Amino acid sequence: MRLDLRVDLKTGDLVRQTAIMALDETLGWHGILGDLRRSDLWRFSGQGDEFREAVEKEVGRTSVFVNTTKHRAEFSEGIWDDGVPLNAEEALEPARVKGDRWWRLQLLVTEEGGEQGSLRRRVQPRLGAAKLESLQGGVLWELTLKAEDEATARGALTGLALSRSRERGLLLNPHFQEGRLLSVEEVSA
Amino acid sequence: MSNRPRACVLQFPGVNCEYESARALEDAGASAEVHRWNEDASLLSNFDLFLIPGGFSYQDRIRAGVVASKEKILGALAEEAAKGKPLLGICNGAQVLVEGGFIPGLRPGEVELALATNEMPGREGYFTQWSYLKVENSTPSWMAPRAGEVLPIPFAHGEGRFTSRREGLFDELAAKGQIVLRYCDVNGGVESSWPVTPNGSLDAAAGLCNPEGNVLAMMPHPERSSWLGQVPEELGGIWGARRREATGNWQALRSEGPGMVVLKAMVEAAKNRKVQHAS
Repeated sequence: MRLDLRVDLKTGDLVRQTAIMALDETLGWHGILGDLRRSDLWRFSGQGDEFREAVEKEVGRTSVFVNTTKHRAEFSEGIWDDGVPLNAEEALEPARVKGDRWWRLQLLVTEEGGEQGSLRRRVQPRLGAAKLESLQGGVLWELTLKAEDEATARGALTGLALSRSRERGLLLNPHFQEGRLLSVEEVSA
Repeated sequence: MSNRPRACVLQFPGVNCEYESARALEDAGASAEVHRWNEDASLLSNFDLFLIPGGFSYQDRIRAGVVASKEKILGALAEEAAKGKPLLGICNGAQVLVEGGFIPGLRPGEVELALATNEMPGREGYFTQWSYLKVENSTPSWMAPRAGEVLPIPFAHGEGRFTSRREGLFDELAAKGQIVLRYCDVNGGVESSWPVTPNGSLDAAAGLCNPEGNVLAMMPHPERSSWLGQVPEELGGIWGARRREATGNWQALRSEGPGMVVLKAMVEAAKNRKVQHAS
């Protein structure tokens, strides 16, 4: 069984604000980047009849994953998937992104597959009989971008996310992180 | 007019080692000033050498060093570095130089490697300790005159693992002498495994330079071992022995420490460059 936990800040997210400022004011994505949001995403994979209940109880009673004073958390089954790895060759520069349709894209950034082995070993003893086989963690970026079509929106996402040089890309360094596009959908303006 | 080289300590919001770095540079023979990231970037041309200090620029938001690396002033800094002026990034400063494409600089401006999350057996996160660093031979860096020396210098980081997904990159860097500083034991024996290399860094790399040798990114903090009094008495090697001999002697405790070797070599390089340009 797989359980995904999405954790958002209830308060203003300074990392989000900094990312918007860097992309909008420094890296040239002004007018293309409509919005950007950031969440922590966890995937619990395990077995046992009590698995879901044990994980939900663990998340609720400790602040390892969620601090209820400042976080809002939601369980689901299926946000985290393999997605499509970002490909640097598809990256577009801001000047090449035209169009006036809006797209919402979800990007998952992980390190080395996102496996959190040491955290999993710490959490396991508190789950009773439920077996936590894998614990993965990453950052889910949700961006709203203006582009003429889906392919251009994907290229824009790759261009602004993948750090290739001082002037290009911000959200992940491909030498130790992976970025996977989880979803693209057109949204109304 | 002073013949002390003018040193710029470039301060981004969130760094926390700017004043001790400036003080150490003063003792190393420079005239040091702290220059804020949002001041006039054209003023950088007035300086002879640059240091980006340690800390947490922009609170490490998104990724350590990345937000500072995108600041416009880095473009001006790159122009000054291209003139051959010495530039040192320490810890978070090293992360800025890596994310900013200064290091390793085979393709200037491009991100060719990362300072990734530490890999340590049985533990994770931020880790601080004293390390021994070996100054490697045949390097284009201004550290070349100190080749072969073993310098105990403390480190303190959560993301200090030099790594790259570019096949063969570290072999190429080693062949070109760009791996200037490697983690080693007290006798200078380089080991890329824990605990000698404390973060999983490829090829035991603790400090890398660009091909020209004037830009150096290092994770340990030389400004925290600039004076002998900062060295722990229990440390091994010649620096530990010097420290024990200095106990109770205030003048000796204020004398040069192992980190000062790095900073003096940098200041010396700036002086030499000035002399060459004047002649």
